[in-house]
Amino acid sequence: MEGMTRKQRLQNLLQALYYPLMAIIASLLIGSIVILLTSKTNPFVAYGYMLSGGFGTVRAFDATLTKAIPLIFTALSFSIAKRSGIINLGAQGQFVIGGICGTAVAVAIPNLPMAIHLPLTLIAGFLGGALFGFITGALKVKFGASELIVTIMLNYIAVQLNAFFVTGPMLEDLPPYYPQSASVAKSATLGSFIPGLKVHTGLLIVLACVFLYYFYLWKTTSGFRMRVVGLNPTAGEYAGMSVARSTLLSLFLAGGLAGLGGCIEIIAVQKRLMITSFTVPYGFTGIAVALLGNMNPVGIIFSGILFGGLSAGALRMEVLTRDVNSSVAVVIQALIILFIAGRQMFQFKRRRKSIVRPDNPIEDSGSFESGDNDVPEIAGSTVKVGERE
Amino acid sequence: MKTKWIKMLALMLVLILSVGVIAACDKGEKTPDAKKKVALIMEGAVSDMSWNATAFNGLKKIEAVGAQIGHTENTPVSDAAEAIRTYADDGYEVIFMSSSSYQDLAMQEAPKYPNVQFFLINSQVMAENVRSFAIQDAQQGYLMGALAALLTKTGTVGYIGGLEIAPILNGAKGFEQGAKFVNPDVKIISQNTGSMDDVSAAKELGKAFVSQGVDVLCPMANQASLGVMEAAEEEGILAIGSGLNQETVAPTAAVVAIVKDTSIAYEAAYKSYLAGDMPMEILPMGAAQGVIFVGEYYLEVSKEIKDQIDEIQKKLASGEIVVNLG
Repeated sequence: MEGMTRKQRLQNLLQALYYPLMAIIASLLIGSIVILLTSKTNPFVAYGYMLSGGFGTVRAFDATLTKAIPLIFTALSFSIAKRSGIINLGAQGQFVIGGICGTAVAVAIPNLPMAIHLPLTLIAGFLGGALFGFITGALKVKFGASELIVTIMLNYIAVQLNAFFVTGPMLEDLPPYYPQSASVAKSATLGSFIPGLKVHTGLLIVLACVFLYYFYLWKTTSGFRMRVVGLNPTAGEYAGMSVARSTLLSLFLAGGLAGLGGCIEIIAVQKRLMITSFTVPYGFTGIAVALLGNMNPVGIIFSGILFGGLSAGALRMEVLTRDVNSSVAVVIQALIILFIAGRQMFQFKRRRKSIVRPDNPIEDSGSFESGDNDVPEIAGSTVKVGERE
Repeated sequence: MKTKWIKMLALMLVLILSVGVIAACDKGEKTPDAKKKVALIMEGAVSDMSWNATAFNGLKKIEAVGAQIGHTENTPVSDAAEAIRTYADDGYEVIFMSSSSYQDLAMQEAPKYPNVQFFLINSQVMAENVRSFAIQDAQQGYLMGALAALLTKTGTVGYIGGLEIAPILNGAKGFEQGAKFVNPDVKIISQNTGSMDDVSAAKELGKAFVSQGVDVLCPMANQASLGVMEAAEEEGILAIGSGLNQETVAPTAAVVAIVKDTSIAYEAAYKSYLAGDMPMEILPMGAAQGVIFVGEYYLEVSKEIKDQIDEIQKKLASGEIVVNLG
């Protein structure tokens, strides 16, 4: 990829943006049909409120960023596993476990200086999620259990564990005995770093994590191995790389990233663990964010902000239109995934071109960086992009 | 030449602004007799045929009284502050919050909006502009338990709750006491699925209960209740609904619904707000207020049983039976 001219780079960028943009546009179009069918509101008016509620004012963008933070974490979780060939559908569960472990540390030790307490809490959240992810890796390596099934099942276990902890061991011992933990100690709270705004230091942490994700996968030997194994386990094995090691490590990191996200969501936003803390599908939305961002570090940040904005704006749309349901945002998010998975439909011209083009075939059907070759598998289709071309 | 343009522009600006000001004044004068804006913030969907459905019916009743209404569904606690702010900015004067989960948050936010009246359903707190209602879920559970114990042939009845929140847990306590009240030997199986909207989990749990000998199922899990009704239908046993229209998914299994019609509570709250008559106390909303009652029977049930249940309902209303929540 080195030695590209500026024009080539621009072309590559446009190519990378083509599918996500088409998916977003198509989803908004279909979303507007949903709005027309279910309400009396003009879709443009509804989208206008959504836009202003997500990006229109400083306060709106503040809410958007706050919502984007957990999504970027879970998107990173999905991406790092996917890069090594593992489909991690368990970000939700790992997120929950991270939240539980983080809260446990944040609540259990009062009177600790922040410089110690806060890092401890974050480490607990990371490790909790990481070990939960590691379970999946261990089962896969040891028994060949499908990570798809194991991670989905573990999601339920995580939700039930949360219910167990907030009704039992971590129950706040105060009337009316509502199933929730005590408030997170001040010394373990992530506050805002811009006065007057809600967006918290977690934003800086998540950006650091995105950078580390990039640095690790593309600038270190271990990350390189992981990507090779992800693209072709047989080739990786042949080259002396351990698939098992890569699987375990990637699920450990994936779980850790999701866990850190869950921990931060509790100590920065929700401030205490509740039985309803995880009713929002952070983990699953994170998959959509990862796919839309093509698992590219920069792409993940932007799609995370877009999804954060969609849900922040949905609230304003629901309130001000009075008859458009905020579920429209969820419909749009779901459609985006569908259109990304089935993005062949937007390939109007390229198909013929690519046959003649004497380019490197890897480059065309998803380079190392984009890795988009495998995405259709998510939607249950086994058709690979390269094969159709 | 240039100055002419600037003058024109300034004139235009003045014109536009004054029109704006006049329009604003116009609005300002109209507000007193304009409709009051009333909002409802819900944690679930209005299509759940129980908790949120009756809440929404309550909002409709308030609209009928002469208010402009707005609502949000599926609003997690972390979004509720933003919802309150958006409503308050849009001129809403009354905000109902339909779940006890919002309690902490409402108490944090309410002082910021002194001109907005908050009503918290199923909460235990009060403030200058916050009032709470305690829906007597335990009484609903009590009636369900009593009826289930009267109907069972195997002597085993089941209660399936959703999230382990106080109302659902109170319902379970009521269920147990109601069942024991009519039949001290009845066996009770009670469990929560941990979700108010996971219909399939509730259904699976219902089927598991049947394999343990349960022949009357009672759900209290909002949306997820529908799964329990479906389980009863498929297993050919009886079910007692906990909300309106739940029988539609279980035409041969649903005996009756013990209705928790919170809409009555909402309407009463709004009327007390209009009248300015809101004492500083948590208002109970149960059988005595007509919020909890036995609905119409969908299946043939002997008169004896019906009379017995009516009797219990009356005793709950009069306070002769009090559910022990200890």
